[in-house]
Amino acid sequence: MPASASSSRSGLRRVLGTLAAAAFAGAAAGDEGIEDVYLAPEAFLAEVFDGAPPKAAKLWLAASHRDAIEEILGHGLGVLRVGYWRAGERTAWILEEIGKVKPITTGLAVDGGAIERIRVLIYRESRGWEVRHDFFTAQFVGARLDDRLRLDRGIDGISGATLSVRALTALARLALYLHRTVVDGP
Amino acid sequence: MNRRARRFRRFVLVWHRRLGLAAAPFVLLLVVTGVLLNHTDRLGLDRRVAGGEWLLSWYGIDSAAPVEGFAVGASWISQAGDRIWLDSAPVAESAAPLAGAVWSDPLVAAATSEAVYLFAPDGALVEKAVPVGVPAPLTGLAGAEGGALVLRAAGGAWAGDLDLAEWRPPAGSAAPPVWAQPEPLPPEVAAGIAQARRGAGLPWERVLLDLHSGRLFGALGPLIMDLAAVALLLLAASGLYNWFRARR
Repeated sequence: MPASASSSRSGLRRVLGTLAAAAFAGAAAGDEGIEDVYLAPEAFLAEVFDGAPPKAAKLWLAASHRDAIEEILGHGLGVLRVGYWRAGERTAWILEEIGKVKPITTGLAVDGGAIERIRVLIYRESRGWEVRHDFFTAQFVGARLDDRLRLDRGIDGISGATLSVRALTALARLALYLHRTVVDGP
Repeated sequence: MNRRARRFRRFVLVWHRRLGLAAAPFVLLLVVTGVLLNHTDRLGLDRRVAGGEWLLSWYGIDSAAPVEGFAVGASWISQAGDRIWLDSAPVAESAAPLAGAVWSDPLVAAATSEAVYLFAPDGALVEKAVPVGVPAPLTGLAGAEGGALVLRAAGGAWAGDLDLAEWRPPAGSAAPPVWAQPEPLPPEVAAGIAQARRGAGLPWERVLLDLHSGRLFGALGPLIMDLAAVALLLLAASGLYNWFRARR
């Protein structure tokens, strides 16, 4: 009988121990993101403007701009003016959009109304970082904006990175719209 | 055959006891929370708000107020919970630490370690700009004559203005910058921030639901509650078996 009681106690301890460990593991499981700087903003600008970026210019957003931006992003930009860099028909923009919970800082260059390059500069989400790779961003090169403020081509998604893909697509549309605004006028 | 049957009876009896003891705290939890949830309206649990700091922080509701801020004219700039606050209103998102803030007529300028922000006096964000060419991290901000701003960074001081367009080392003739210094935040501003962060709070009904389902204990909580439910099923089966055997 004592042997049975002892084995019963150790069995119970094992069951309770497993349950407690599982509870702690569950409570500790978080969704911590880290900030990955892939390319510093100045390095992006140096890349776009061959090492000599022009002085930043400012676009003050009027009510009509805000409506279009809202249509593109689904929300406002949250600022009254946007900085950009321009040399002739080429412009460069450093814009942010939230993927799932954190902003993705993205550098976009537009030449003659078409995307010249997109580079993910700072990525802060824990998942979806695949959007920084060239195989994805290359799809945007040459994309233009149609009359409905949409890209003139489809962008293939990446499974597991849907929200980041959506954010980058929105930023491409936004950069093209802002470029059109500063180069061609509103 | 007889010996094997005896061993099986003994096995069922021992595991009935073990399962009963292991499941007891979970059953107690399920019963108490279940009964309370059945009467949330009468008990007003959907209106009463849990106020314990540890519970709020467990839910990620961090209502701590900052203790220091930067005086900008008649207002204060501070940082709490990845946000920059102008008095007790959140005006920008920033996980990067606040390095300084100054009143630079007619705007409020603030710098985090990563970016410079300009706010209108009503809190509207005019612009957020990464100061291109200034080595990160930014560690200080100073105001100067005529809307000039000076950033402190690893490479020394960098002068610019409210255009946030260009940053250069200050002219040799410029007066040494007076860096904005944090000061104790007035209690009414700190209380306003704490109130704004807490929001409507956490109703007890939510806490009870999460206790009942196990979600309060993280991702594996519901699984543990499922295991407790399976344990109850096994208890019923082994209990019935023991009862039949005892009758024979």
